[in-house]
Amino acid sequence: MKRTVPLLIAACCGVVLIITAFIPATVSWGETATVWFDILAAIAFVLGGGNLLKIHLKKVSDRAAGWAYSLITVLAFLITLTIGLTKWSVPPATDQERYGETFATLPLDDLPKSLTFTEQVDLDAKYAREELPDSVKRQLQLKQENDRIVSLIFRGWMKPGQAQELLAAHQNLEWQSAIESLAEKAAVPKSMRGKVIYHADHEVLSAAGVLTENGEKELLAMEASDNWDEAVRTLTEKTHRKTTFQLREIPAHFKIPEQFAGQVKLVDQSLELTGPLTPAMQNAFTNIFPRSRPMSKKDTKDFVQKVATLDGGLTKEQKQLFTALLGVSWNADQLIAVLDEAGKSKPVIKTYRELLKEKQSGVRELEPTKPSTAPDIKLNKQQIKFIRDNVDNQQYDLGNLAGDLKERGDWNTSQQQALGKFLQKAPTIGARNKLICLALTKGKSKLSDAQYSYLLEPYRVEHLWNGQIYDLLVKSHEVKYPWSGAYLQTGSPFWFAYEYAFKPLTATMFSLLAFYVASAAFRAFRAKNFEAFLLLGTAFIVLLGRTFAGAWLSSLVPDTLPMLRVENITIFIMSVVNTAGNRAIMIGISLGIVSTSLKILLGVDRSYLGSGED
Amino acid sequence: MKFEHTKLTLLFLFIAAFAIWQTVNDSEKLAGREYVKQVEGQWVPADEIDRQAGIAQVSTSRSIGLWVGAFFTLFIFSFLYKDNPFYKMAESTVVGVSAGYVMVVGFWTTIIPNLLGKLTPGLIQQWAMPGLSPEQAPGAWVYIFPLILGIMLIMRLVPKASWISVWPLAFIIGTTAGLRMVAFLEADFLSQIENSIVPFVEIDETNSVDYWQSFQNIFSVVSILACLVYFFFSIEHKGAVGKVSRFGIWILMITFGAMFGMTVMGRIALLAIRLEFLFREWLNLHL
Repeated sequence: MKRTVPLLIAACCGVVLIITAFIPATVSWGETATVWFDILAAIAFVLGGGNLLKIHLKKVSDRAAGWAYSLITVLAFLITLTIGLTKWSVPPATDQERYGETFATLPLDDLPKSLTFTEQVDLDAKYAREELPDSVKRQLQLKQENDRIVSLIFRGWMKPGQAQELLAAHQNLEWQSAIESLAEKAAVPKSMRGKVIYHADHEVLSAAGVLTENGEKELLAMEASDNWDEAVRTLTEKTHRKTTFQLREIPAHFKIPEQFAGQVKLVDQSLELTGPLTPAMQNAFTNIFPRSRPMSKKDTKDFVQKVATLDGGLTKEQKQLFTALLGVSWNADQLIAVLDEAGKSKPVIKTYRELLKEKQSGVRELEPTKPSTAPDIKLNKQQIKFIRDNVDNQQYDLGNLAGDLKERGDWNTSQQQALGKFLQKAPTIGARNKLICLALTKGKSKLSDAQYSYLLEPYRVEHLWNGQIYDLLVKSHEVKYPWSGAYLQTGSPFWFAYEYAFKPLTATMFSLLAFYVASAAFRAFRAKNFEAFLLLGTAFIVLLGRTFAGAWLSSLVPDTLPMLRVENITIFIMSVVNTAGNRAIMIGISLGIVSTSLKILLGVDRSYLGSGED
Repeated sequence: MKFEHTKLTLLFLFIAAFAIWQTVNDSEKLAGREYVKQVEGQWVPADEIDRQAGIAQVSTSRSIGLWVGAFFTLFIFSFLYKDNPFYKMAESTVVGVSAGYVMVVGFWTTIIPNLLGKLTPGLIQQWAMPGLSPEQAPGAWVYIFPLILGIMLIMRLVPKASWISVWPLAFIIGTTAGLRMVAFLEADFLSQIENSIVPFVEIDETNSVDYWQSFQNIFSVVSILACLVYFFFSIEHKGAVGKVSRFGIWILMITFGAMFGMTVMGRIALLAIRLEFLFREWLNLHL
């Protein structure tokens, strides 16, 4: 049994996988087997680790020769393993933490009854037989009667992502119309939209930012049950926690944005925050630095001159480069084109219900959009003139541009958004100056400390401020998944072991082979016969073709004989002869693997069973 | 302590002393230290501009790491002289760290998402993978089998039950044989033959014969056939077959020569990277 069962296992697994490769419906079995194989390989590492400990600990306990080295191996192994498995000092994954949100545990069954949404439908039962998207499995129920789906019942609020997944689940207008109606019913009420959400997968009620008194009342009014009340009160309490953050430096022009004035206060050198800092707040707080914009010739000249007059001066080439770099910016024409494009009315996307209605009324070719009723808006002469006059005026605040353009002619929200996006794309003055410094110090060019200081001050202030706001985001945040970070997170102890021990040690060991290969070649490669000469000669040409000497030798070859150039000979060897030789080898290997596989599966080769002595 | 070991110890002490001297006296203040800056909570390497802007700071832990990495590199290089305790120390460290590293990688990239994440998705979601759906996928229970096979594999460590570890091994061997056989037939055998079938007369864009390309194609096909003839041992390599197989050997020798040249270049590139690490990153010496 000890030998027959393994032989049968190997034969059955192998034969089944070969057969499944020829049956389309079972091709995925091979993928599953590969995953199982990976799992066993990972478990085999545990076996390897166990063996390593067994051997080296025995050596240490026996005080055998070289036991101190074994001790080093054991310690290195245990330390690396401990810090890696425990994710020591690894921060939680930023993309999983849902910064700005506060959670209160609430099982799905404890949701208020008013948060159960029902859509009466008449759908084919086939939808119930197919798998629902994972994100809605817990919340959506398809009620059937007489082999038809008669209602869709959804527990909790439906998130836009869930609605999208459900719509994409079946490309059928009846289904999509029903889901669309259900999504509208199950959406978070307008007054609470963006403020609360229910994560069914995690069974938590979540609030973004601060849950206000009105918000709390509105939620409590949904149902008077203990668990619901407790969850809402917990959420309110948690979102009113205060965080005080000592600032090291505050940008001169910083003001608390008006929309967040109720939550954040600047007291002396400290920010006092109520609730968590949301990503929107972080964005508003950090997006306060002026961005690069077109500069007039005079402004450009003055700026370059100012830097040139500082200690160290600027060379002619540096001045030219500096001027050219300042000229690389957006211009008024680009902005006008973007705003005109945004002003064009866009076709309106039809709802699935509209499309279904059209289909039922007999329309054959359904159009997904309909023309907009809104007129096209193009910037008028006055608006264009205003843009041209002011974009390069450094005294003019581009933040007022939307308001000023609105005063001078037609203006719509899509243009407003396009303007915001356009201006956001430009780098901040700090980022621009950093690029300028990089360009001006390329090669042997240098800048003085005074010039660096003058140019990089905006970059320093911006970097420091953004760092402080990020620290505030983390400080005001309640960690939800402490183990979610990447095991090889930069800066973690495991990363240190990888970066400063594993990497240099393995790379150096492999690099040592350069010496040994060269030494072995010196001893072994003697052109004793024609075959050895071919091997040696090819290796020499390939090596020569990748050195300066090869290029130099090629330069001596007359242009009429390009085939004698070292690089061309190398290309011929690699692309024709080497390819041919490798192909023959690979064909041979594949035949060898096929025959070895067959020998294993037929039980001819049993070497993997071992001698059976252990 | 042996005399050779004393010599090596003195050499390393001398190198350490020089490195300390260089760290202290480096006019650019770059030798022997690593500068970092904080970006969104992460400490990332800082460049010259960051240093000039005053936002970079010397990272003590990474600077220590730099020195550790540098001495590990030197310890490994010391083997070029002869086997010695420094090399053995580095060798023991690399064995321990590598074993720990692959175990950790296997645990977090395979056992957690592919095994436990499939069997107990709810638990793994709450603990390590918040993005995972807590609902168990249909048919995911079959992952109990690799778990059982894995446990059987670990039984190898128990002498009395070590025979049971051959069963999962048989599974690994059997699946590998089955998967590899089909994969190699598809990817290597058939595709290599398919790619070898090229026109003997190549016509270019101007509708004339491209003699050079045609020669390359013919030469390539003849070379492959000659190599295969050399691999065919069922008939004696005599007469015409012997001549063809001899040509096949020449092609194989050129192939091995090219492979050897490429391998040497790869190793030399690695060596250059290690030397660059020592001279530039550690000592900031631009020789």
